Amino acid sequence: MGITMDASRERFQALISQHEKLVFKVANMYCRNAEDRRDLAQEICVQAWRSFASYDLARSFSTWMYRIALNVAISFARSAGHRERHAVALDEDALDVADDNATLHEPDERVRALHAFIDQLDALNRALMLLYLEDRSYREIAEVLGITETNVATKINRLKQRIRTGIAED
Amino acid sequence: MNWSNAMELDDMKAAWQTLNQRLDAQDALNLHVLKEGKLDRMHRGLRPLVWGQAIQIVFGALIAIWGGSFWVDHRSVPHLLIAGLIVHATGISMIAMGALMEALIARIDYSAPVLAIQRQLAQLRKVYVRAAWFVIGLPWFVLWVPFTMVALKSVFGPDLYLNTPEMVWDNVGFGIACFVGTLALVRWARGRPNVARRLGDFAAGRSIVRAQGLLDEIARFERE
Repeated sequence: MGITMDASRERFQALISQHEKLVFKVANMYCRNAEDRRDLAQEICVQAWRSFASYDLARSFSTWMYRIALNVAISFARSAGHRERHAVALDEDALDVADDNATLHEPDERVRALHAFIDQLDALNRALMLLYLEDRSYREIAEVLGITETNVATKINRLKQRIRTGIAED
Repeated sequence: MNWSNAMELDDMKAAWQTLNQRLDAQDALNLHVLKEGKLDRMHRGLRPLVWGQAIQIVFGALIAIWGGSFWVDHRSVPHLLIAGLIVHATGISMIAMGALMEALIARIDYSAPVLAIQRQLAQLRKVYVRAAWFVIGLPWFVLWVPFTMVALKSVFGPDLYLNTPEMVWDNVGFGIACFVGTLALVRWARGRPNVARRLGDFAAGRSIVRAQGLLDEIARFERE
């Protein structure tokens, strides 16, 4: 039993090592504050380990991991304390970009604009945006979110439309 | 806010890459710390509801034992028998609700699709808030009376009902009026988020409105 547990833990840690950027990208999508980001990354790993016994090795680890990471991140972001801290970060970012009327060329300005846009998305559209930015296929996005591929395509087009018209939320 | 002359969605991918490169060094160090061996630790953010239910079950068991032993000892005195049975039933309902919530929490599979899990969590939250208020919380407007009767008799000896029956009935009547009034207030506030927010945690409406808001957000996301 101990050997099996150790082998399972080693396999899990190897897979997490290969996909650690996934964890931090999700954490980065939902938290601006470095401490929150660390806490969230840790919670994602702990929950992934707790669910690892049910992971089917024949299936994509990244899809499985995205589901866990996004589910934990959305719950984390919705908890009252983190939402309040997040709201402050959102306002600061929004002001930064609102003051900047020039065309955005510099990396820092692009990052601020990206943050400002992301911060105004709701938790589910944020998940969609992340998967799109990560170049995941529509099929994988549909599997992670639990919607149809057609629905994914429609939503991506809506996101593009929102950016073009300068409106993040309907 | 206007991004129209600045970025397209595809341009944001470049910004996303820049952002992730900056975070790599610091975050990799943090994950290394995590891998050092704290995976089995119950983390605070994930488990408060589970611990809350466990504490409720323990308290429920103590109350059920207390009430049970009281009504067995006073089964020949009708009003003390009823008070003891109410205390006993309250303890059992606390245990049942805690166990039910533990079972529902244990069934959550975070590796399921995001929309399914978020809907499940929002429904769980709604059930929890409703149950907490309508089973455990609001009845205390009335429950404190039999609890006081049982406590006084158990600890000090006097029988409150025999000494001041009118006080017992007055407080039961007042408690029922407060119970019904609060239910009406919560019902009224449910359709008015601003009012519910002002009422704060006391009204329970805020938590229910929030849980319903999450369900509405999920439904809207599916529809769009």
